[in-house]
Amino acid sequence: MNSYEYILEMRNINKRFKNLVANDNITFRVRPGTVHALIGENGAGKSTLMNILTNIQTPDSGEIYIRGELVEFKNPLDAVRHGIGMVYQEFMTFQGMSVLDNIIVGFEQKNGMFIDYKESRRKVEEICKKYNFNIPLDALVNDLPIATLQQVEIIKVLYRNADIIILDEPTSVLTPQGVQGLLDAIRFLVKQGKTVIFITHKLKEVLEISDDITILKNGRVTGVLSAKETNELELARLMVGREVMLQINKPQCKTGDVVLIVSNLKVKDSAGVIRVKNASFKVHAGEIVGISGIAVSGQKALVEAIVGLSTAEKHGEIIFCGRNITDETIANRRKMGMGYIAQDRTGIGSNKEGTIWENAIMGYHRVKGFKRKHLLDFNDINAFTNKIIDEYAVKTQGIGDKIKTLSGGNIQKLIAGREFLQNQKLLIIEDPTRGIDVGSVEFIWNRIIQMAQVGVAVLLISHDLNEVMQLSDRILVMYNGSIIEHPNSKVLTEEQIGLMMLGGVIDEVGN
Amino acid sequence: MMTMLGILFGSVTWSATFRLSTPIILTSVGGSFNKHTGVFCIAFECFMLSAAFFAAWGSYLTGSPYMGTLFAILAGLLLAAIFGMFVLNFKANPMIVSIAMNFGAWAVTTLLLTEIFGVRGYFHSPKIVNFSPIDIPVLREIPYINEVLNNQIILVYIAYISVVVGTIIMYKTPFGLRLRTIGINEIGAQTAGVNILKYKWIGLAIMGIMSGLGGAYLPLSGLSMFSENMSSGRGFLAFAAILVSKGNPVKAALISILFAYTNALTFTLTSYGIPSQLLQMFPFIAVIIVLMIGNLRNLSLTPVIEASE
Amino acid sequence: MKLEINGEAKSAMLKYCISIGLTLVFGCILITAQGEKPLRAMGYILQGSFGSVMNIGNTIRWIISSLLVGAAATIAFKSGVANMGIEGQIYIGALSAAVIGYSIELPPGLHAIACLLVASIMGMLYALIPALLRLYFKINELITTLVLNFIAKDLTEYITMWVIMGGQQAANGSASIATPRILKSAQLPIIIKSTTANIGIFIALAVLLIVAFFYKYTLEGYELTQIGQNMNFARMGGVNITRSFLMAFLISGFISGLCGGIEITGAYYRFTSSFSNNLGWDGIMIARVSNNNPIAVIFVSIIWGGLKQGAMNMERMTSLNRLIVIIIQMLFVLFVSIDYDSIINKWKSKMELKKPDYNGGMNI
Repeated sequence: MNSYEYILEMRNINKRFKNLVANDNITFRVRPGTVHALIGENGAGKSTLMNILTNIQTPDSGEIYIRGELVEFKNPLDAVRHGIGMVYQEFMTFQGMSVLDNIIVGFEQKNGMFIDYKESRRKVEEICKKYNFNIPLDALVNDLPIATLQQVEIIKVLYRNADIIILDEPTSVLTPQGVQGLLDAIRFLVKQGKTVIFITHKLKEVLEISDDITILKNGRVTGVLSAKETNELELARLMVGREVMLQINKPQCKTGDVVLIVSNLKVKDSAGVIRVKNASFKVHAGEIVGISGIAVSGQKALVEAIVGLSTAEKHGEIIFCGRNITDETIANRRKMGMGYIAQDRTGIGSNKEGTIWENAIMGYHRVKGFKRKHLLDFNDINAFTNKIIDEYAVKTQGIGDKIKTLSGGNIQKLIAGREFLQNQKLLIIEDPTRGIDVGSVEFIWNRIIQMAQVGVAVLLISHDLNEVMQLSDRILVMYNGSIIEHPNSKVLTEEQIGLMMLGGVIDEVGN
Repeated sequence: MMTMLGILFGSVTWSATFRLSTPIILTSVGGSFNKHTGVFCIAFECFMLSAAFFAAWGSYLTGSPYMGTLFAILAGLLLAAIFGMFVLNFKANPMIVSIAMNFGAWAVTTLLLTEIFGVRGYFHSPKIVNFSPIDIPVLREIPYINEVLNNQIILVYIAYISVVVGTIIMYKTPFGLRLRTIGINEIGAQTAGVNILKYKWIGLAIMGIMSGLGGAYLPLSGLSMFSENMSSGRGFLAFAAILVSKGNPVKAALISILFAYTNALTFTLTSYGIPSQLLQMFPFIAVIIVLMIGNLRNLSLTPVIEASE
Repeated sequence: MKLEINGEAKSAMLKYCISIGLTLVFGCILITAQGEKPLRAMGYILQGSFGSVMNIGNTIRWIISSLLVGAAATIAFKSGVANMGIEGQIYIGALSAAVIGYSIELPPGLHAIACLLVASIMGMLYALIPALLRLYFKINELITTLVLNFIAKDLTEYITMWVIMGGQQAANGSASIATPRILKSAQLPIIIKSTTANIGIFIALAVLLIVAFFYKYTLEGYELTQIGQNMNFARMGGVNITRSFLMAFLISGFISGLCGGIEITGAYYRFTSSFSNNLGWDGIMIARVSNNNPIAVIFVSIIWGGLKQGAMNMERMTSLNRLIVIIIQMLFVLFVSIDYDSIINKWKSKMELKKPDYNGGMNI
């Protein structure tokens, strides 16, 4: 019966989005009855590969074999019918419905034209029993904790008779105890004959649970290893190590007074989940402090609290230029000299329906000119916008153009110009070069260094480790909501920081 | 005091309530299906008014209220299809399409009234054959119930049956379950293998058919008449019922009954000197109060505005 | 790059051209089906609306209200407020103006100003209700404003009939429910003899120019535009969203109330129940067709007013019903609402699928 070596084999998968090669000739093989970890940074191509497997996206070329047979999916249902089930990172739950409804939807047991709830319930209960899940089937999903929701999602794919279960970043939402529970559940699933594909970037878990590991980087496979024969350092190197595209000449900084003090900051997101745990750090004038970390480690919540987009919990403090600004309005923070480059370039950083000048003055229209009483001062606006366009080499026809006519790099240069040309004391810069062309990257990097040279305090939060290492005078690592500061971060290697980002501990001398 | 109780609980009032709730219930039950697919629609005035006209015309032509109702259903379906074409295929703003269609329906029906029947304002004719009341023998023996429930026209019974059937379809069948998932989480529904577009069109079709039935009630319930702007805001009441009930047919029906009850009271209470205008306001004030109670947990003393839905 | 800017304007031009074309085609079919010549009908519409000084005067009367409701809706939509309650705010404003107009005596001029001011403030206060419900209860203003329209209609009718007319005995006397006629001193001066064209047109034009100026040249206008287009962007820039939202809502209500006031003091001279004939909805459509551009509202309002007045002439001179014009207007609104860009893009990408992509990856 087992005439095949691999239960799943994806051969030479290629997928390209406009200017981005997401999957570059990827071959991915999974042995039956194993846990296979698929690891890689954000944008490495994991999601695309899995979307191709579940037929949410179709590949440009490549073949998929299941149990040794070539298959061709016409729609996502076909993938389900071939026994592929995916637990998404963003759970596909239906708020306001019961657990049972959530599990059976689309694949209900039928009794004539009605749902056979008795039979459906029996089947689900059978699965719960077999795989040791204890779930209240009649509870509404809204009332359940995240760990339970995840179990609901796993039961859902089991109910759909999945043999190959894909778990997308399953531990990023869990507490340590929850993680252990999940790992136990995965082991149990495998014992029952299922195959699990485990997507993550937490190396400890990878080594703990998986049999085989495939590492992706920039859309390519950089390694296929057996978990027994590797270690965290090797994985980190294969995963985050990269050829340095740009080498920036960064002069020594002259550190001045403390500009920003964050102490014991605790931030919850809108769902009430604690995202930042007791973060404390300082940023001095003239210094670039980089914060690196894997995705969803709490960077977003930290930045939002500092710039004022969300409110921090009571007991923490943010002190800016000697003043407690924890409860200040955004406008006042800006007035005091805080600049902000948001990660979400088009959602927050700019208004894509607006013109160039409208985008160029936002945030400073009230605090630093551009107005004579209530009227906009167009001389001032023109002069300032043109100054940005000149000094930041924004390629455009005129300041009345809609910003959506610009390329990503030009938009980012415009945003950078807006925030940098206002004589700020502190700049919060989030992923400044994500997805823009190399020329613009170099340009923006140089400008950031220049800002520090003239005495501005810079807090750089980036998912790009290379960027953080190239620019920063000090590197902080954010892991699971906490800020980890190494006493001598400049001596650390890329691998070592990568390891810290993934929860590892490095001692003072760098071991 | 006795008269007051008589008015509030008397069989005359409740019989009228039972009757008057029909068009709103039919429309809101149909619209509930559409609501669950996440397609925004406030064009119920359009569907009901047009259906009312075609019901009257069909009955006038054929002499059968059933044929008239069929005309109305077809009109409702056609208009729902036009709405769907603009909103689903042409990606038009559903709000503006709704508003334009509401107006268009008023203009078209009023125009057809003059073109076909050669009158302005209203057309009354015995040739517009009404549904006749149905006598249910079982009910005859029960005193109060008989006066309220018996001898109503078939559409009244259909309306209440539709609440039951609609609830069963929505909450007991695979179709209903899948339909409801779309409005909650469209991508989630997709991963469960639900064909979103198909379900959206089915939701629109049910809405069209049911609003057609609701519209047919207006001229064929005993009036033998079509008048300009006959739906007179019932479409908006149905919309409010759908919104407040969040698309639950039973709740939508209860709210429709609340509207109809206050409407029925205006008939009786006005003769006791209570201004009808005040009574007419009650259902609308009720909508706001229900919304406020429903949102109590969102109450915050520091006003916050989130980016709109 | 230059091509792209033209592309923007081009797609807007294309949108209106296709819409007008489609509307003309369907309109002609409609008119021909009624056994009339389309050109003849259009001629009579033009003649009826702009053919003589008197006709122009009567057209102006309709332009006034179109301008004001268009302005009220534009302010709301441009700032991200879904104010569907313009109709209700008009009623409240209109009744207030009528009451001030007949019940107190003031010098001419001052009296009219008092009427309009009270009308505007009452309209604004009526808009405050849904605004507060949104701010404190997070209830979407769409449904509350819709419902408040009906409440306003019933409330004004109640006040007129039971408070002002003293109950149904009086109402039985006359068929309609109406307030007494406002005093001469409260009436807006007529600008063209024996028509109802009044100085309201200057007020309305001034309002639109102020709105246009406000959004183009003022700080607050800039902030409101940014909120309407991208609330998170404005929040990031430190704009006080709550205050601005409330301000836009109230200004929209203020202008709606003003519209009601001008209708009473300039044209009807008394408040009649259900007088407005869905003016508020007209405003929403005018604003949408104008793409929330205050200057475009002026042009669309002229067309709207002209059609309203011209339709009557067309009805008199041909066998056509004036409702035909409303139907054609609605068709135009529908056609303008179509997202032609997305249809064209979809069609284009379908074509591209068949062609190999030669320069893919090069354009960012």
